[in-house]
Amino acid sequence: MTITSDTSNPAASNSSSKVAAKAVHVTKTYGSGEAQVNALDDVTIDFHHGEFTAIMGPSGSGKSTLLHCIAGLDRASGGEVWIGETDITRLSEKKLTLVRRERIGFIFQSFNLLPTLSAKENIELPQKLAKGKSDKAFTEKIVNILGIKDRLSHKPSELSGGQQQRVAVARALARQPEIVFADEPTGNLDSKSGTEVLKFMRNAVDEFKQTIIMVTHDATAAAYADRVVFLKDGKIVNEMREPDASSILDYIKSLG
Amino acid sequence: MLRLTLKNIWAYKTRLLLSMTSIVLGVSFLMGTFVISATLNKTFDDLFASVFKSTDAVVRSGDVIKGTFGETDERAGLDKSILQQVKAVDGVKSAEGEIQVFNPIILDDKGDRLFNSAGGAPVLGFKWGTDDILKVWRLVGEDDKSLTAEQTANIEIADNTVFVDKATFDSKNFKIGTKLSIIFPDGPKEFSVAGAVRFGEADGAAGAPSFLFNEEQITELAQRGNTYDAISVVAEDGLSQKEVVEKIKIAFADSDLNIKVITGDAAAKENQDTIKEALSFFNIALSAFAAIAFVVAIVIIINSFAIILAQRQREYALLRAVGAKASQIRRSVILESLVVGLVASATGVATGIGLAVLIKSALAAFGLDLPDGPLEVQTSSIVVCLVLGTLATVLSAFIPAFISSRIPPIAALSEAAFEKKKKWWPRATLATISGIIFVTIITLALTDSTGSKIRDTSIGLGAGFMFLIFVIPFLVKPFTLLIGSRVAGVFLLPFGGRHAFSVTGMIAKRNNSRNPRRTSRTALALVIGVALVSFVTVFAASVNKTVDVTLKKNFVGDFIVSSDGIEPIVTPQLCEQIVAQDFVQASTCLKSRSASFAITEQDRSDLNNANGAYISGFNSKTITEFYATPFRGDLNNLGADGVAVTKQFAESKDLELGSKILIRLDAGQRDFTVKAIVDGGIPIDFIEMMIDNSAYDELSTIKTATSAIVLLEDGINTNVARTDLEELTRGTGASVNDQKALRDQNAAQINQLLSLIYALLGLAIVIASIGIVNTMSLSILERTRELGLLRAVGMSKRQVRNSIRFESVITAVMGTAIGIVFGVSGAYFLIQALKQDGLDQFATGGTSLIAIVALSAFIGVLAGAWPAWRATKIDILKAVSTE
Repeated sequence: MTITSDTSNPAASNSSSKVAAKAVHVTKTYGSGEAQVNALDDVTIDFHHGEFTAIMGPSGSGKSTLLHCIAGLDRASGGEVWIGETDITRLSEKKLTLVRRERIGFIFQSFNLLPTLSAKENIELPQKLAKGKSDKAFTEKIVNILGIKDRLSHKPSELSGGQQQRVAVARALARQPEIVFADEPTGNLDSKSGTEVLKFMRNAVDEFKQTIIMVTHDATAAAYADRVVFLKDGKIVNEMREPDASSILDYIKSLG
Repeated sequence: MLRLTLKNIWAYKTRLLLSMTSIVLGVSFLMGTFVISATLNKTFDDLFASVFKSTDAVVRSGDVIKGTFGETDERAGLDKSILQQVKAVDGVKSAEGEIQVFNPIILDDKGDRLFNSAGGAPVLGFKWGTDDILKVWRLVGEDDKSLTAEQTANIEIADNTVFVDKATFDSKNFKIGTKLSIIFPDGPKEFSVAGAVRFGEADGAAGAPSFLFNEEQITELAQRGNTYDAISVVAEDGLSQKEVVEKIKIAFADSDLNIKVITGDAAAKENQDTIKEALSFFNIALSAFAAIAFVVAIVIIINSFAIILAQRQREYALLRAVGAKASQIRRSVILESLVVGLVASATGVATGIGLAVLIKSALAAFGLDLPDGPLEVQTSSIVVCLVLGTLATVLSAFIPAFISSRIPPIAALSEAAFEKKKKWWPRATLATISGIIFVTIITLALTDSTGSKIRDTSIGLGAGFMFLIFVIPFLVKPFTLLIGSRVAGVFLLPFGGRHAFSVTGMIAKRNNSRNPRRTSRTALALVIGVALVSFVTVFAASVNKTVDVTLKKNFVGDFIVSSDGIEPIVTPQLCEQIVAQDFVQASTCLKSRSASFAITEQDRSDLNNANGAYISGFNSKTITEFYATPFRGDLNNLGADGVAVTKQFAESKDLELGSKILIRLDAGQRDFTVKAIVDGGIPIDFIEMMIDNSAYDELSTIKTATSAIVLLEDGINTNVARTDLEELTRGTGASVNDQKALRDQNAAQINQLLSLIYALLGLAIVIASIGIVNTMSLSILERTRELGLLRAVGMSKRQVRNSIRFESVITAVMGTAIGIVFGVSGAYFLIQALKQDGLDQFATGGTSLIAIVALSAFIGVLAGAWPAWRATKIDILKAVSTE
């Protein structure tokens, strides 16, 4: 575990591996004039391939905004956001949709699944939207690991919260996207289900070299990551490598 | 709660606005109908009030010939000598003999008809009166101003000249001296236009082209011998209408003439009532269409409220949780619907007045010209529309309001209570029961010979509609799977059928069947519209085919010479000329009009109040050469006192060969003996009695025939014969048609009526498609999060649009399919019921039905367009954010 106080170039510490995504001087402002709010204030950060990153920070720190901007769900007001070799801030809405569909996986806190589709159909949705062939063997493997094989024909309303979230994880991973973005994936789950989901995400990083960026306010969840980035008032204030829950908690307390 | 209500209305304004559109449309159609009806009535009231303005009494014959098919009763003429007797009565200041001719045939100098009576306003011929007080027409001077009564006093119309009403004069670009040809009983006469006249202040007589003749020539044109239709009387000053009527009655008390005298006011009233009765069919038809539009609007508003309130369940649950009573919530919803209903109805009233202008021009486009003049907007119409519109809205909100008020407070907290499943079996039971009732009534109606088949079948179809309401929710899922299937997708390719093969289509299908009751209510509006359209289509196609088959089977003549309309056009002179042609093997002139008849003793003694029927005159000697109709008796030798009747007529009146019928036409009456009973298919469908022309000509003043039917000698070249006949009819206004042209003409008339009905029913379909727009839009608001999720995981805007549109197409096609099945089977059942009345052919009008399906699928695409666009505008972040 390392704590670096140098926040000007936090990503430089691990330059040996390939960059999966990066934000360069990203700003995000809402409103104008007196009422202007800087949700992101000149954020620069790299995310490396095969790494599990957690983004933490108090409410209103801009952690979700950062995730949304990097994931192409929201547009940055300034700066560049790169997914691999693509600057997505320059993409049209149409191309951006393609990037989300082809190269990114999502896990949200709740309402991850379409209520009209079965678990299996939900998992296959991104492939089907892309009209591409799915890697059946890989999907089956994930489904097996997640233990939802016998739940595949069920509608979301027939699944427990934990099961629903596991289906969401399966959907996000099934296409082996360049990056999986997770926004408070365990926020709505009991601790047992939450742990299972987190374990699986960790496993995906270790076993399939999956890149994951996760926003969370839960130190225990963040402890599953390789690296924790702390945000406050729209700025990156610190980061930890190989974090454990108690040191994260301590740091957050110090942030106030 | 009032503040909450108003806040709710504001918060949900988009949704409510959407729902309002259907009520606005329904009310505006109703209002438009009222305005048109009131305008028509007012126009004719004013018209007759001015016609009879100076008339204190009307003297006319007491011999009545009953009209049929809504025609006015006819009266025998009054001998012209009576005018002098009336004038001589003490208290009579002046009197004028009136003569009016209905639909004279008027041609331009090239020999072409100037007016087509089919569907348009009738052409009228009037006598140019000589009495200054009674004269309602005013000659237009050179400065375009009407001349005064004094200035007009000594103006008379010379032979072979006419005055024309100013409106027609202008619209037909007449000039003083314009040459016309007018068909008289002894052939065409050349006339010239001598001036334009105004009808009181108006340019025309309520849209009817009017021609004024001098007394000699109008008498000749009217073919009513030396008679007047009636005599208008002006009383001496100081004498009331009743007093002068009494004086005339007393003067004629000892006369053996059957003379009736009524006051001028009564005559005006009688004319006003007659025209209102004649228009009542039109008014009823318009009201029926308004009612249909209204019902469709109600279905949509019920659906809208159900959806809006379902979306608000959490709010209501929260209110309940903080202590609101169920009754308070109910009141709040009802109050909301009241406000919405009032606003929508008021808007509907305003747009309805605009719609009346549109209906007027639409009717004009179909040849039904309404008179010019300001629209008559009555306060009572406005009140009725406001009340009906508001009431419909409030009632539509009632059930959803009741359900909302029963929401348990706990639903505010738990997600689960939201999607609470309704029990399916009560509806299934209702569907089954109504289905059984439907089938039973229809079966009984069609198999049981007692009772009115039409009435029973109609009741059965009503039960069928109830069945539909209950059964459609159960059909949503299978229909969605069927319509969204790949096979159907191939047929629906022009309407986005390719989505049946992709995930966008799958999502559309799932969404379409996720709330079957909602989808079924959305489709129901379209079901009603399409069912009616396809019903009318099939019915019209079957009527067409029946006429076609009947004509083919029964009419073996080679040519028919007739008007393109329905008015008598073959003059006795022309008739003789046709018969005299050497290529003609046999021919007959066919004449027809209404006659009073009496069979029972009671009717015989009171013939003026007996029933009327359509009677036809024809050449009895040759008739069997033209008609292959089976008959009993001796059709070829009816002679001067024989009558042939249809089988239906004989059965309903208990007639047998040898029975006696007393028949009256306007020139006399005669006792006839039934000499033949014809098994249906008398040449013109609605004619019930036929007599020989020799008898007809003695009893009827009018001897001009409706048509002449010609059978050629064997071996005659038909083209040559046609050319000869056309040469003969040149300048007479009559046209020469062969069998096929005759059938085409028949079909064209039915199709013209059909297109008018389509135009009116079209509105119901427009409202129904607004219902689809409405439901889809509301559903999309409900699905914001889902759509956001889909967009996040990579659904493109285009795919979102396609999915929503496909969903809309599925609903539209489903509504259409059910509507067509119901409409076609309804028509089939009704035609079965009408079989005994001669409607024995069933045709589907296949291409028209295919067109209806295509059109409604297109409507689905259109209706889905706006919601689809809205769906792409949703904010992904809002949908997926947790903060």
